[in-house]
Amino acid sequence: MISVNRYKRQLIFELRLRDTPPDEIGDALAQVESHVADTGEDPVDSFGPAREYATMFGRSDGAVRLWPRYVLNWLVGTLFGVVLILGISDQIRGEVGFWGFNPTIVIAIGAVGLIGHLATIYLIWAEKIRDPRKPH
Amino acid sequence: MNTPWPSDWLRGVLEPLVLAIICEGETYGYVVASRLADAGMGTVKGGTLYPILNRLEREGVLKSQWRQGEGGPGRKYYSLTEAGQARLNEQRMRWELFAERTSSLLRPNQEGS
Repeated sequence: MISVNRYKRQLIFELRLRDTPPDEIGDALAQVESHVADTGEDPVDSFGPAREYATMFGRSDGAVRLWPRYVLNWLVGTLFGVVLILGISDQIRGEVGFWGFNPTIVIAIGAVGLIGHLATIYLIWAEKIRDPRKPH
Repeated sequence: MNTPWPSDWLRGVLEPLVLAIICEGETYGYVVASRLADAGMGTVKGGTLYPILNRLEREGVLKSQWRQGEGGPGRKYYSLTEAGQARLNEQRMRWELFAERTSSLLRPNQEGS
């Protein structure tokens, strides 16, 4: 039997992937928690796997519509990652960085870019899920 | 007779049944599922029931309010709006006609069989 908290974490992930509004996510989580508390059932038995249940929310084409964003995220992350690796590699070998840049500067650009990119993704994903049962 | 109803049949009739149960008085998801089971409609899982309740709420047929339970995680109480009452009335009338016509076709022919 899967715990309700684990099921809720899986559901949050799947609903985020489908770009479901935070209020709708909060409501779905509270419904799962409330129903499982009343029935004592396994959340997967009651609601099905989180991935399947998530398809009942948000836009039906959510995951499909978001593919350009996923591709862009991957490209930007890969770009800064490659810059960082090249900088570290040049630093270790004691060579001048690509395009004549000092390897330290290349490392800094790669690291700052990668951290900034990850922070941006985190901030977008961390948009607050409001619990409808709590006063706001 | 405890054989589960074909899911196709249930899919068509769940919405009016849910509306009829909520029309009896403000209530929450678990009670709706229990009432359906008690009425012999079988076990309706949360994964089937809540998407219907959510859709009806989005369509303005139901309104809802979360209330904190004593020591529990709280419950979402649903009630019918005016549009919901109108939809239920219409679906009741149409369902009666549908059931009558279906039964008349399914009934064994007295002369032939």
